[in-house]
Amino acid sequence: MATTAAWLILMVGLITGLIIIQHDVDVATRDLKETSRSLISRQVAVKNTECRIEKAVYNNSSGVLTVVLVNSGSEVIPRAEVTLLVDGHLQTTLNITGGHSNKYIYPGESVNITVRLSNAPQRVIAVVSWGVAAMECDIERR
Amino acid sequence: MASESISQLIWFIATVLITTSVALLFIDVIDDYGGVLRDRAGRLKGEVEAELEIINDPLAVPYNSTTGNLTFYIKNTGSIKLSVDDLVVAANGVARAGNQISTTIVGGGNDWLPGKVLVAVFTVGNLTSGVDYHGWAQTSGVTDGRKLAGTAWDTIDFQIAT
Repeated sequence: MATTAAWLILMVGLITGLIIIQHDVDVATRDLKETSRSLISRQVAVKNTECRIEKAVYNNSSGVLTVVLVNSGSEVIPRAEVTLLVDGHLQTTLNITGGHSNKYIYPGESVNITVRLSNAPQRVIAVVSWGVAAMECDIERR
Repeated sequence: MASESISQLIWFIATVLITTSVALLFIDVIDDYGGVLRDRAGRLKGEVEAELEIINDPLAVPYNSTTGNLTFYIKNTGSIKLSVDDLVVAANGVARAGNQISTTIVGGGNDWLPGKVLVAVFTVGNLTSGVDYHGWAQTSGVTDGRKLAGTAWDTIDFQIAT
């Protein structure tokens, strides 16, 4: 009688424990699945994101630098993520024109980025999604 | 006969008490294990989601030789918000944190959201042009529930802008 009761109590304890842990296991499993999915999708996106500076022209009289940036990858690049560094300095007022969308730069598309500068630039770096960057040192002067 | 029954009853009660204690211990241990499992999975998720990149031109990191102000441009390349308060930056072996760093999020706002660039200005004395330096930046990811999750960090080898 006592042995049966003991077994019964232990089993109830074990089952209660398993029921309690079920929720935590579900949450952990969901987090791990999301992590794995997000890691794979990020790796693919980084691999497929590419850009290049086709041309950079500085107009001596107007002080305007025009950078032609091409989305040479197969991922869409959000325009809001385009950052331009001129001689190491971040340009905060960029004017981006061209392309089919005012939100994205689609694969194969090129856009013109213009920025007004006080001095002729030497180096231009364009940074897009995931920190992918393109650089140009050969800046045309007109 | 009566004493045997009493002895059996005592034995039964003792058995029930002991096994109940063991069963409660089981439940407690299993519950703890479940909590640890959930926390570790959450932390791993945070580690993957929190990412940053120092996007400076390595050959021309802005530096004001008069004030000693060095500027890092740090992009949130992850998929969760990053903590501005927990940011630590360092260059040439000098680390700065908290109110030692002046921060601005490009495009405005207080939240360092995915895709946003943060401008971090901090003081490092006596940097010279033409010399190679090493720097890094580190912060924590922040979940929607404003809990810290994962660590994002990046390093850069650089020279200051002339």
